[in-house]
Amino acid sequence: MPNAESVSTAQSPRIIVFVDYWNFQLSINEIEARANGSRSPRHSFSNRLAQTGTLSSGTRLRTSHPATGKFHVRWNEYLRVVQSSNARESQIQELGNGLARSSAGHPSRLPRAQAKGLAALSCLSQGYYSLPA
Amino acid sequence: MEKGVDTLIATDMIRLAWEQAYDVAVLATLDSDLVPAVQFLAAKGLKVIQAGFPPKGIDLATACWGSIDIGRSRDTIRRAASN
Repeated sequence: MPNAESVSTAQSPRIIVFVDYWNFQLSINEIEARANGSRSPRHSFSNRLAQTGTLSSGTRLRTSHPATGKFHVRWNEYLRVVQSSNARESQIQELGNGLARSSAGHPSRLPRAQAKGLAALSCLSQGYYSLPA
Repeated sequence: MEKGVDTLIATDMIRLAWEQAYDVAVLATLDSDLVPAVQFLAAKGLKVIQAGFPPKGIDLATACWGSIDIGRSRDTIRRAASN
């Protein structure tokens, strides 16, 4: 295993984002249910779990449907986006676009704009744009 | 249906680290099953930042180099969503 210290982290570290949509959406639902004083909607995932969608660009985890041979995106897919650009705004935009593409056609997932906001928030959050030596 | 996603993420995190494909990983999940993978990467000097809703997922957040509290920035997300 290469030592990470040998990897350049000088000005613009390469950032990779792993999003477990299933886990994340579950948590969001629980938090919103608690805020609204309603029952946890955890059980409501039984319907959503059956949902599949056609392959969209930007997705990584995919399964081949045994009957049709077409690729289907699973509900529990996650997205990874590797960034190496030096342009901060460009990084945010590309991250957001990647997340949005991943959620396209899946209304029960994080809304496109919300996913974009999440990506932007992640990029803007302090801690990894100013890595200590 | 979500079975195995934690393993897939852990495998990708370690594989891509091996390939020196990233410097920092942002891990948006609360799944504590990923703690061993994060600890392994930390031992190798890689930085993993958890994005979540504390105190949920505190085990994973503690294992990570840093964490992002998305819950504290919900308004930011909602503003982005309205654009």
